[in-house]
Amino acid sequence: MSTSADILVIDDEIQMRRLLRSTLESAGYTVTLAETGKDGMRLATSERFDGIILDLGLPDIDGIDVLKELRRWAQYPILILSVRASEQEIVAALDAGANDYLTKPFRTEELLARLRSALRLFNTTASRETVFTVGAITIDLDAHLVRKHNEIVKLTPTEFSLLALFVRNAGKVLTHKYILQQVWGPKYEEQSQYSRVYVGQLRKKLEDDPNNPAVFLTESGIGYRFSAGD
Amino acid sequence: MNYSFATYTKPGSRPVPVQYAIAVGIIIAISLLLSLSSHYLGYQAVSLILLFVVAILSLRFEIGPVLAAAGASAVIWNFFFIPPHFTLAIASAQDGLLFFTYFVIAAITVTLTSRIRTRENRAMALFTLTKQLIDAKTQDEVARAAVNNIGSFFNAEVLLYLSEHDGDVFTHPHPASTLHADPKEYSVASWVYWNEKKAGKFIDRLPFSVATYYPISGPRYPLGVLGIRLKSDKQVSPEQETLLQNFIGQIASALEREQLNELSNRTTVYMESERLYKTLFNSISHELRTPLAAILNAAEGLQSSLPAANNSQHNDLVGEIHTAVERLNRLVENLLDMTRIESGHCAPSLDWCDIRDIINASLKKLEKELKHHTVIVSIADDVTLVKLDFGLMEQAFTNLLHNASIYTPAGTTVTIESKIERSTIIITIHDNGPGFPPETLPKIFDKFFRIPGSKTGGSGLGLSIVRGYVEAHKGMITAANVPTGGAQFQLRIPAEIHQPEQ
Repeated sequence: MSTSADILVIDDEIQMRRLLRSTLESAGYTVTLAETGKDGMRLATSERFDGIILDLGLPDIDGIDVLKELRRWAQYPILILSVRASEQEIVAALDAGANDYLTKPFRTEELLARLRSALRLFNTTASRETVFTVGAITIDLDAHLVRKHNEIVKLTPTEFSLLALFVRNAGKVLTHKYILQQVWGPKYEEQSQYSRVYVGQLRKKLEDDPNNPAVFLTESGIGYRFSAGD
Repeated sequence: MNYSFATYTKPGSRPVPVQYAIAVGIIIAISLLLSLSSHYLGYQAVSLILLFVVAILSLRFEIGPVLAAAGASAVIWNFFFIPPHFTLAIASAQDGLLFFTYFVIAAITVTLTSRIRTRENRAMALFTLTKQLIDAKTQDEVARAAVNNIGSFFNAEVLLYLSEHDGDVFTHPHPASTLHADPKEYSVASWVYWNEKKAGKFIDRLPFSVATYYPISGPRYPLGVLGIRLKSDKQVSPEQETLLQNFIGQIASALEREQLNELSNRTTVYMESERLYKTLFNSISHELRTPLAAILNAAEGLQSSLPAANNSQHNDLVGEIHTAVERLNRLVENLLDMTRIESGHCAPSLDWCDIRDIINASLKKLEKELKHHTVIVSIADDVTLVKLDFGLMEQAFTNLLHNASIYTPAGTTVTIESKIERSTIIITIHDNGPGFPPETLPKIFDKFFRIPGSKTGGSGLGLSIVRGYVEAHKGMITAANVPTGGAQFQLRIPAEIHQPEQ
């Protein structure tokens, strides 16, 4: 994919802004910087971007509020930066529409990988691909067929719709709440045992080592991520 | 008709004996004046004027003095004005009827006004109490208003017990009480509290106390008990009782109001401190970690921008920076975790967790540290989903496993086992390393304690954080040496366990 994407970085720390600029520019992105939430929102409305990197700890406006405001009209990926020990904050941000998150301190390569994956996912959602391959697993969404090492794996309808949700959002972190909403319906948002039980079943049927999952990854205290294997 | 209400004396009104003197004195004075003019008025008119005076007096004085005035006026009228004068005899039947009518009207007037005034007194008393209760700003003021009003209106000694916060039984009477509380009184009062029925003297339940006790009932739990002993040492009459129940009802709603107020104040203060703490904590966390992130990212930037020729040496240097950042980050994490535990802001947010997921997350974090160790994870099949705080437990396991990686030599096997016993999840982490020096075992979870002579690279906080997080889950952790050699930690955490639907 072309890496000439325009990225807006909203972070109040000058050092982080400078570092993110140099990191992203050397990876081929065009970077615009904003110091405050207000600045960021002004820039986001007046210029066109392909993605935003947003620090949650902004001095003027709560990062979550900036995110909610942006999500009222912006479809493109928004990555959030946060510090650990604020899982609830991260979950809130993801539920408010953030595409992914990174906790400080983070590895540069991790940031670039997440950004790349979010941008790719955004650009391919339009395409009507229905057959996906992840390692030894092949999933045909139209035919409702799942194969592992070319052997058909039997899934219950709920298992299949959960898998389909994961596949369509490959590489993206999905919160428990979002999964429950999408697969079981809004009434089941609090029934968090469902997602755990069914992810466990998918792991048993599809993972090489269910006790050490490589495809259905757990995001500590937040949710799951379906590893697209890159 | 019952006039046994001790009168609710308005401020400024005179004592009763004085009232007698004044009332009778006024009648005598008026009679003297009338005797001067009786010649013109005629004695029938005199009776009307005297009746008028008695009616006026009944508005100002107690019933006793007014009755005395009425009697006196009847005698005076008869003796001095009705012919034959200076005798109590009445000559004509007409005068007899007149005298009889006079007496009856005087009596009725006095009775009626007095009855009205009794009602007025009661209404006034209730009004005064209600007003004071409304003005009361604290539970104490409510109690004081209750004791004072009941005491003065019923002419009684009052003993008031108020429940502790959240409906716990009282231990001491309210200091505003005017009746001395001995253990006997207390035992009757607490019986009334738990049973919410009146008891005590004059009542067939527990009549051995000095006072009679009434419950002050609230919608959620009893608010207290009110004991009353009339100074006349008589029983509370049914009429007084009705009024007393009215009083108690008012007091109950005032107490309820104040308790709710206090509760909401406490909640507000708590929430405010929680919010403040969170803000501060987040900002410190942010302040400490941002430079770490900058160092890490700058080092990585350096690595990728340097000419390939020197890369191996630079890689080493960047690797050193990286290790240092990780160590510093761990220290920051530990310090922040410890702060969180010590400040009491560490309430676990429980949700369904797969214990395997938690262990995997910790192992993944420590991939590099445990590179030269063998890790065996053995989890019983019946361990399905357990309600825990994922983040806290992940940190606990990370600290325990990190310890294992530091204090055991390469090649050591670390075993993690988990099983369920009734509604407790038990996790055991043991290794076949050197184990703990026995004398250090009692201190192993102490803050900043480090095993003497152990290599540098620890803050001495890791295990006390583990204990803090386990205890936040109401669980316990023990450390021991395994008989076959090696250290063992065991965590026992009571938790809700998912029952799979069959």
